Amino acid sequence: MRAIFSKNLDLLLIVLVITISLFGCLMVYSSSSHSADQNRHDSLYYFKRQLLWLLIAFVGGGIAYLIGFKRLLHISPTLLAITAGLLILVLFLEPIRGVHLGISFGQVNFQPSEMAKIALILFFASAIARVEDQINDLTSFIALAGVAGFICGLIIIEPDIGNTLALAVSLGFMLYIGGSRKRHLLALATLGIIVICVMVFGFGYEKDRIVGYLAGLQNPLEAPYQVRQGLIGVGNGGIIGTGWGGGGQKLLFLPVPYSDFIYAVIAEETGMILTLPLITVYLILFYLGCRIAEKCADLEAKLVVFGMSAILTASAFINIGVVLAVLPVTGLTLPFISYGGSSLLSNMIAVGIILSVAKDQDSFSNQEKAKLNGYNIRSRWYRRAHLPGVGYRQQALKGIARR
Amino acid sequence: MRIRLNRRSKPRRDLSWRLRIPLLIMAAFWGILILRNIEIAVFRHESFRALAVDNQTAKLHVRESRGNIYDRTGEALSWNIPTSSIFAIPDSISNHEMTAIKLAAACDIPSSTLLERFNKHTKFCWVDRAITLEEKDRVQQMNLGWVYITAEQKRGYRNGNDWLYLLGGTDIDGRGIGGVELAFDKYLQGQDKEIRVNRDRKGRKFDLDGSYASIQDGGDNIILTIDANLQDILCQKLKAGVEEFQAKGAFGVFLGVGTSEILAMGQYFPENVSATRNVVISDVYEPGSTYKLVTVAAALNSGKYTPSTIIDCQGGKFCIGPKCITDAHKMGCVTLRKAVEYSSNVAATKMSFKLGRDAIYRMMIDFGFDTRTGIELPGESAGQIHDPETWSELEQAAVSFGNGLTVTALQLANAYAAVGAGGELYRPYLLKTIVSPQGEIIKENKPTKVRRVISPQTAATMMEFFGVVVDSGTAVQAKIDGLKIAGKTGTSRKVIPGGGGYSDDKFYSSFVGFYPADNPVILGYIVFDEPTVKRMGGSTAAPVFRDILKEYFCSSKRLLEKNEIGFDPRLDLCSAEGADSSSVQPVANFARELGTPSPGADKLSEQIKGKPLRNAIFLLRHEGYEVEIEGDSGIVLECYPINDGETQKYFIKCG
Repeated sequence: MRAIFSKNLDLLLIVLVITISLFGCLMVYSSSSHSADQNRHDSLYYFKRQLLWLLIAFVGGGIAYLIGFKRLLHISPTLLAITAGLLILVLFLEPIRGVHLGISFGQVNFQPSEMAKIALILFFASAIARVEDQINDLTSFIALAGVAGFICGLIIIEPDIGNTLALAVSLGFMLYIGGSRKRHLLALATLGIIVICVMVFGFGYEKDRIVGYLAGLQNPLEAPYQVRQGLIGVGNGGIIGTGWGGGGQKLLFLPVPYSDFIYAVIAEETGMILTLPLITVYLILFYLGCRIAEKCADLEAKLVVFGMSAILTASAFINIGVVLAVLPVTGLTLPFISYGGSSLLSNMIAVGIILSVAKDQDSFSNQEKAKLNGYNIRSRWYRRAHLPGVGYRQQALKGIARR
Repeated sequence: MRIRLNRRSKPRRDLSWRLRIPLLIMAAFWGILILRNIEIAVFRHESFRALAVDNQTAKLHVRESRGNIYDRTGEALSWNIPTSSIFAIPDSISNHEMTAIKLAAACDIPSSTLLERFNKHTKFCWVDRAITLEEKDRVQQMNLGWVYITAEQKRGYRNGNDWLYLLGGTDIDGRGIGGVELAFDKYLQGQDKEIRVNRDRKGRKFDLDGSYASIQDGGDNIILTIDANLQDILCQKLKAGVEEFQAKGAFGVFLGVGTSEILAMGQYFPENVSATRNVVISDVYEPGSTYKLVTVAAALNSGKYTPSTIIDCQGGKFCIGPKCITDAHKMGCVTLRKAVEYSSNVAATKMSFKLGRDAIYRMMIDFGFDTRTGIELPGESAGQIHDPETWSELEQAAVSFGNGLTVTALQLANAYAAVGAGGELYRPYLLKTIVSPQGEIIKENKPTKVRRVISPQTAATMMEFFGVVVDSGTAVQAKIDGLKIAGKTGTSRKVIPGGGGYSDDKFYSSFVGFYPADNPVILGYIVFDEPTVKRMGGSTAAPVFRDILKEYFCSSKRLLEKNEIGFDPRLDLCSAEGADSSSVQPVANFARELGTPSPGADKLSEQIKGKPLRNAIFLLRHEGYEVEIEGDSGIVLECYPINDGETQKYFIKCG
């Protein structure tokens, strides 16, 4: 078993994603049945839609896998341009519950910000790979940061702070992996923090939320109402939970029990017995992403895989962090679990892209191994070259040249 | 947007190690998440749990379901029937008109009424309560928004509403409003229990863990001293009597002698009397000759008279001033025994004058005619007697044979019961036992002795007199071949309302009978109000009493078989021919023994069928069966005994 998975990281990834997606459907049913019954007179309303969306998302992920990351990277500037257009368009549409989040097509609500995540990461990967070493230059760094800042700015004024934050973290990591100078990154991070501080303390933007957050961080019992409801769910669940369907917080106490606060429902009903493994699964997803990225020969592929897995994991962290009052309240879904078609689709597309990279890298490394035939792969430099993964091809070629 | 810089200024550095840093950072974040999760779920579990309970649960006051009422043989007289009610939340209904019209069609209520209710109430209004199953189905199928169906219980009664005057009834919320239901309301009524149920943020309540469903059994069950079988026969015969004699109405009561427990209480009024009015305890009237009991008892008890004392009946006429007292059966000088046998008013008047008004009045009070009997039922009256100081001679004479005063039927019957019980007056009662829903006996009622009224010798003498009355006096029609019955008739003219003296053609005709004549155990008192075909108590009430008693013994086959009542099994009462009277051996304690029946299996099955499961369980427990429950509750659809050799079992199917 272990051998299978350690060799086939992509297989492990698929198993984990499908497992938690199906688990997510069960939890969506449990957490939404009451709201669905009250609002739609059909307790299965959200569950059925989630199953349908899961199917669509699998298909979408499959299509992304079949198209392949190379073609996607190739069209990424176009994708980003379309996304930017949609993000601007959304601002002019009638807001849904005060938020410019989506474009409605009948019952389906399409969220450009979810698409923006994919497009921006793809674009970033190809851009960083193109500038290559020039990334050390301030100009190219600023150019990249500017594009990211523009798109993030569009998302943040929707407002979708959660996605922006997850995206910013992933892009920051990508810049770092891509070889940006630490001082540039630090300067950027500092700038971001200063901007946030000025907005919060200078203009009082969302100040209450921050004050409440700080109070809740210190004493969870004094968290603001919504956050406290989430904490009550987690606290009430304890270690073993109340049993599937037995939680009471989902009875409209939690703001959106089947979406942003689904973690509280899971924690209340299944306890830490299942939430700790669930949290760990997200970390494993990230680890798998890093492992796949490590093996990638070219920077583009490496960055795509890394970016995709980082955004999934960052989203999970932010979502769970909000429920546990570690982070201030930002609306963000829990990947693969929360109800919501757009995010499920975009997350599955991300998985599809990761898998396409993994497949490509496998076939590539086989070719390379054939080329490298005859070399002592146990030699010290070879091992060193193999270990980090990035410079596999270059190091190997260098070795040939040296010889 | 293409950033393409082709010059290679520096060799590309190996950046692979940089992958580790985000992984480490992420892992650190994860550490924070896990620690925080542990803090909240483990270390703060208790305080959050308290918050959750506070949040998610609501205190709900639930009234446990009402106890049942049974007769002394365990037959259910009153029980709960599960039913449903519909309510709506008018505020949330988008289209009041549409909903009202749809509901009106389903529930047979005018839509205008519904619309009015919808507009009047905001948060809650009943649409219809205690609906039928068909209505429920129809409403459920329509699946209207903000219209809900809730389970409720309504009360079902044996014989429908025929016994309302005795059992009373409950209001729609299950509180007793009359009769037995009101008298024992505090026992019958389930307690208000406070339970916690889940609620949502909007306060809607949900029974997630079944705590609501678990407290359905509540109120204690009441077992009455009533024998439903006797009561059935009594009501039936009264009705037949009213039709036969074309009377305005009739009422009657059966008591256990020596206990004064009420065995049956019946009435039949085709019109003019509300179905909830218990005539036996509430209506007062002039009793007539049956009241001579007081005069005779006072005479014998004083020692001034013996059964053979000669009294001059003056040819049936005795005048006090312009008014004359007359006898229906004219006699000259006769013994006291004979005077009682033919119910002489003149003799009663003479005895009263000789004994003095105080002695008579004292005897009236001793027999309890000045107060209510103290039966548990609400709405009891006391007859009216006047202060002896104010009596004129004529009034004193009238009192001696039961005119010029009023009694209730129960007062009179109970006074007779005292004679039957050897001179001791007991308080009449209806409550036999109170049994908890689990079958434990909470309270067992015992007869309450009020006082000794007359000496045992006097009582015995009077019983002898009453025996003669049936054997050869005014009540010969009460005779049953083979049974010794004692009794006394009474016929009184009704007072014309408005003070116009006594009516010539309107009577109360009554008969009070004992069985068996010596050492009686059961007493019945039957009164006909304005019989027109026949008038005398001896020809109306007496034969009805006979019929009732006869039919009662015939229908109580199981009693006959077990020889619990005073019949020789050889005695075939129920066939056309009578039997040899010499062979009858009465058993004295029949009325007391009735309480521990063990009816045949098939009878029990029949009793159980159609009743709610909990009633069935109660009945089975009452019969001494152990009850094991599997499956669902509901109404018993099928019931039959299974005999597997060692133990008797019942199979019950509910739905």
